[in-house]
Amino acid sequence: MSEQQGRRLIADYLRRVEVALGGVPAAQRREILDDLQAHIDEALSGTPTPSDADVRNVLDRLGAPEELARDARERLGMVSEERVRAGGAGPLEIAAVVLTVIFFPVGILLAWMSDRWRTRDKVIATVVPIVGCALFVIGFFGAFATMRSGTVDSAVSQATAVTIPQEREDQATAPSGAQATPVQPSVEVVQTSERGSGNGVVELVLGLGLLVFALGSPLFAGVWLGATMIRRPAPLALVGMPA
Amino acid sequence: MDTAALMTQMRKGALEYCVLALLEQREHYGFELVQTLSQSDALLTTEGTIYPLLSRLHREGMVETEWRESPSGPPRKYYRLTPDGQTALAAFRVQWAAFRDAVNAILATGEAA
Repeated sequence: MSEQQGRRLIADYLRRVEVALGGVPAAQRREILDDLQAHIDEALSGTPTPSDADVRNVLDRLGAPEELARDARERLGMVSEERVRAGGAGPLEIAAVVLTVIFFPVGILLAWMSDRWRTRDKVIATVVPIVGCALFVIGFFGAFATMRSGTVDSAVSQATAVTIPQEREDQATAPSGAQATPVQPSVEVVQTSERGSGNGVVELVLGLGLLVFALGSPLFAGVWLGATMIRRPAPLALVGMPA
Repeated sequence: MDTAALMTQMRKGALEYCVLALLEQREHYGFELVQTLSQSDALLTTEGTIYPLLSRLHREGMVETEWRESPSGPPRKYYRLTPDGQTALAAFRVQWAAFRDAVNAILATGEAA
């Protein structure tokens, strides 16, 4: 047993404590680590050349790093990671996040009912999808209005074209083939693109962008809510010390 | 609840006042406190847990600290009781006596005192 090995044992131990104390404020973590270091130095100071067993004995008496950290978190008025996670999201919060993505109006309503989010984050999660939706509607009707001879049919077809651009391109390269089957809505697509001539691509990109934004913004809102949920202990987790 | 868990729960509340009581007699450095307290398994089993507790007492102003060189060996951090700590300890003494009497009475006779 060399002295180096003993030092490494101690360094490993303190590193494990430091990692386990992850949630504790840095100043207090530093203080606890300094105190542990001083304790170890003091405990070994009586032995001129401490053996491996001496070092291990001192560290064993201090306790397992994880146990020590758990105790520290409770002593310092914090709760363990597991408890924080368990307390972070109740059924209401989970429903709010999921529904915000798949059915925004109900989801965001639930989010506003929960106190796990700051008002700022609720506003962000509310405004972004509404703006996204508004932009899409404006863009949609804007495109609709610019089509001089546009009918409801062609507008619907254009929307179809936006969602299936691949097919649209295919049709555009073979317009005669497409016109041979007038029953399919793709005929209208071709006609639309012919009418719009050079603007067709711009409109398509714009429409696609708006669609992605409109569909994506509730997803963004859900992710935002999921990420900004205030980590707060569940009531059960407050294993308190007498004040 | 097994015995170890029960002891952990009971120790939690009382240990910090035991520390304050030791400091009421005279100032101690950390290792000294550990040595005294660990003489009883009822009070301290994992020695390291004393340091988060001392950190908390310090933050709450119950104790004050000072690093000093030791005549032999590494520097030591000394803990001293503050007036706030003194007050808290006095209050605990009263509460502890009432708690102890109430529990003892129930355990002995099955009736509240």
